[in-house]
Amino acid sequence: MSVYSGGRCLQVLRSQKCPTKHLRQYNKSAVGVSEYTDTPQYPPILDKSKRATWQRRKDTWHHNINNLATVEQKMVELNMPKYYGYWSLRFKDVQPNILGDDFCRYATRTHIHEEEGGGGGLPMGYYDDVRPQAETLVPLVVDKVEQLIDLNFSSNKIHRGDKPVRATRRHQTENFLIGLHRVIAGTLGSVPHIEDSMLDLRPRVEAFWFLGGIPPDSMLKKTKKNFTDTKEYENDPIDRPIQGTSSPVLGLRVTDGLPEVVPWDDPLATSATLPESVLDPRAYGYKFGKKHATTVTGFWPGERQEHTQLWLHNQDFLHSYKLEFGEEAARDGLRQKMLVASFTQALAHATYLGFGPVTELTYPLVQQSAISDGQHWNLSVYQLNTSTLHSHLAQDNPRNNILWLSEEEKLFEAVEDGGVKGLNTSLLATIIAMYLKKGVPRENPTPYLAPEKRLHQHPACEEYRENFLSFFHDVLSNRPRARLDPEMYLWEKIYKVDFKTRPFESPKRFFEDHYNKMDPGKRRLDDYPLRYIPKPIRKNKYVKFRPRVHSEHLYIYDDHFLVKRHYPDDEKDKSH
Amino acid sequence: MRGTEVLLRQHLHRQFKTYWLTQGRRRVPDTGAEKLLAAKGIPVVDPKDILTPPYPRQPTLELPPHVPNQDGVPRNWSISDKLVQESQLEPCYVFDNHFCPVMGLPQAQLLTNTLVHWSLPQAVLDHATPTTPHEDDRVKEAILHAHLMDSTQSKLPRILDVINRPGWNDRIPYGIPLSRSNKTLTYQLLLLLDQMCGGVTTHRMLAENAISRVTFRHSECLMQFEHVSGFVVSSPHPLPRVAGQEEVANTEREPMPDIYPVSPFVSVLPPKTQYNMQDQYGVSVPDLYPHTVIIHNNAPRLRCNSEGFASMTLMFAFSHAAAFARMLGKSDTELENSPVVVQVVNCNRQQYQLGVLQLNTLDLTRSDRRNLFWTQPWQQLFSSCTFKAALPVLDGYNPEVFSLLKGLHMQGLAEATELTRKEKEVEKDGKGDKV
Repeated sequence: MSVYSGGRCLQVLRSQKCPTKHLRQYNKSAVGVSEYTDTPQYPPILDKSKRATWQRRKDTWHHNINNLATVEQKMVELNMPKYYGYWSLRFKDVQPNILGDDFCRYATRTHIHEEEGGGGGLPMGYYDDVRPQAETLVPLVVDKVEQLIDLNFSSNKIHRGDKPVRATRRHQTENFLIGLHRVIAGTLGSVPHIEDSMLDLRPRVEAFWFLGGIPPDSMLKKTKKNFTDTKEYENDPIDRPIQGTSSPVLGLRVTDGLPEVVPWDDPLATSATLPESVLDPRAYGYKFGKKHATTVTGFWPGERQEHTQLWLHNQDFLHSYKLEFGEEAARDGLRQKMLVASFTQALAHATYLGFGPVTELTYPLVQQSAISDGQHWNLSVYQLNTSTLHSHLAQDNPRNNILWLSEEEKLFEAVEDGGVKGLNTSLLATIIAMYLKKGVPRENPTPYLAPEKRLHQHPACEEYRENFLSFFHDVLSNRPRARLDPEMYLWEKIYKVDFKTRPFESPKRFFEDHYNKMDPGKRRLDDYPLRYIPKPIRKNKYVKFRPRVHSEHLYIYDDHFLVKRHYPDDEKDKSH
Repeated sequence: MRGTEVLLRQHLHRQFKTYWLTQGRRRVPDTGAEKLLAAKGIPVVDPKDILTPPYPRQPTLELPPHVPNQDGVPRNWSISDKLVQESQLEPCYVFDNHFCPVMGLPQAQLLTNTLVHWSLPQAVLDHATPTTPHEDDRVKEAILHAHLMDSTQSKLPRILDVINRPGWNDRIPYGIPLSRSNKTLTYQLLLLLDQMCGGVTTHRMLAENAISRVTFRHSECLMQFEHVSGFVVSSPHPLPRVAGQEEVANTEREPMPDIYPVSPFVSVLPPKTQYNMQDQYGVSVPDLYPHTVIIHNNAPRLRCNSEGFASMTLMFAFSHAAAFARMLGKSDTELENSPVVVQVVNCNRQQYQLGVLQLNTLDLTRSDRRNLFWTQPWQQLFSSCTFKAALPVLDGYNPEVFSLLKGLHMQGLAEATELTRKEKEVEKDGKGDKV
């Protein structure tokens, strides 16, 4: 592939010795800048303590991410500090923990609004404008829904081969949900936002965020205690990266996002009851794993329908959860699933709109979800008011998120040879109301993205845009590494680190003191040896190496690799 | 490839062999313990007097009879049943999803006793109205989403370019598997079609991954079609017959292709001795008639040409129609009056083939009446769907495919609305309140 071509990117070079050298050379403005002003412009007095310095570094990084033009660039910059991926919490919606309720609410900063004693937990008055219309549409779908239930849930009508009981039930539920959506969407085909919608079937939905206020573990405390600089910060709470996953069966996507349920100044959104602090997530039974920060929402950035009207989930995970923890734990497991799934979905959408784990929202995002096994239904509405939960914002945030979870309702009592008994038309009306709820177009929906929004409109050349997109897809693809990250074996820890009993062994390993000592945790994503360009295929004979990935300019040349400091000429060296 | 060093490698098998040889030769030396103990007055006994000698293993016990599974679903396969069935079952040619006949469409015709007309029925073509720009936009969006913008990243089969780059292993591709993109696109197109019909077709039921199986005796050979379809769209009303009784009677005079000396059962695989004997239709509800069978051909590189593709379309359509007729217990005379009509859509990424089959007879050796299949040569829905400088681009979109799909989707509607109207009238007269 040809690697160098014209474009503004070539003019920006990375100089390790003097960061501003290139600015001095290229930043020649036509008008001379006066050195004198009327009042002295003193620079701000910075707090030089370690804590403040670390916070400033974080803030600068967040500020850089906020200023990037597209979602792809923001995601790559978010992954930039970690070449081997973040050591992040595996926060899967289908793996609730028996002790995890408090942690889930803290990690997503969500207040669960469950009304006790009937009436359903869904927000009062949110569906008032669409409920009457939904009730008139129910008679049109009742027969078809009954037929769907009869087809899928009475004994073995659709043959899919001999499968275990649980797989059969899962297929039945998924087929029912797919059929139900088809019936409702077909009946509501004339409604503009349904007509214009796009459907995701079993989409991959993941979201990444930083959670602050977590107490450090003993290993981290020991490292801090052993150094004079960091001794006093031994017990400071830390940030943990969290990788959330949601696994819906269906996602109905529309162009406009749902209107807010409660305004931002409502007490439910600002001062609801939440857990004040948590333990290390591993205390609740969660596990960590190394993974790149992945935020996807069923599609790559660039689709027209960016908001989701409704997500439909399967209750399959509850089967093994109930076997392990009993029937009484079912409600708790369901609550955790809806919480994690809703937050992940909402945050993934927020990230695609330019907000994210380090960029605060400017308007709330609302998600509707329903979880069912065909017969038992739980509906939920989620309002995302804050997406930044890092540092002090996990506990000290002016806003919190809200989840409304309804009581469990049955869609039908039983299905026999005679037909379906006891179809719950009221529940059907609520589901149709969820479809009918119309989104509102926002003024300035993406304040943190460039007006053009898309990567293909970046000023860099075509080749850079293509390669950057492939790089972005690769990083977010969960593909395993071909070459494993450096590992200190246990015998090395014993004989080389803890009790140094091999004095004549040459220090060649990555953790040993020599010229090439490296900490794998500190290796950045753009810290890789550049590919050499053989002389016969070079366009410019002085440009020996390919450019390096960069979140702002997509790819840039390394200053010190260029022979004789010959900067490639844009016009002359354009690729074909 | 791992960059880590191998520290100490030993061949465990050789090590084990060496130990076995050397240690096996060891003899227990006389330590003098026996004499010492006897001198001290402690009784010493020969181990052979206490321990029983090694005895030969007992012959294998007969397995207990097969217990049905806890869920109550009867299974044809069990260990004891299999062994019994193997000796008793006649060898049967099983044609499954992957079977592509060597001799192409003529072979499929001979297997299914079908005549092929190379144009879709007039009723379908009449309803295949040209697409509006709005419809085109929606379909293009659906294609882009299913084949490009879906964020699933799964490991894809490696495709090696042996001619231009021999011995070169490309990086393992990750992306959207074909099974997934076919399913997403088909479902979205069905939703679009339902919307365009104004929601009148929502009474049709959808079944995913249904398996249809039907066994036939065809000129001394036993053959079975076992097909897994992507989607089966079933309707409460049957599709109207396409060819009238006269046309069906005329099929006697039309010549069937002849592939002599090749037998219609020529196949890469030999006939099976273990197969499932139970016939079934994927959606075993007698009130739901098959409307459209949508086949997802998920081969990443299609190994057959246009004719092979057409033959697979025909066999799929036939297997579903025949399985349905078998389920209802229809005889040939009943089929004469009300033949089973099934529509089929076969898709593999861009290639789409549509067809309509009318099942007139289940007797595959019959020459006075044959089944009829209307189809068109396959068409491409689009030619390529890729990112070009980070811009999603769809090239070569062909609007004709969607208009033909519309034509297929509209079949069975007029009759349905007529029947529904009559049903409502009857109910009104009968009961008065209920609608």
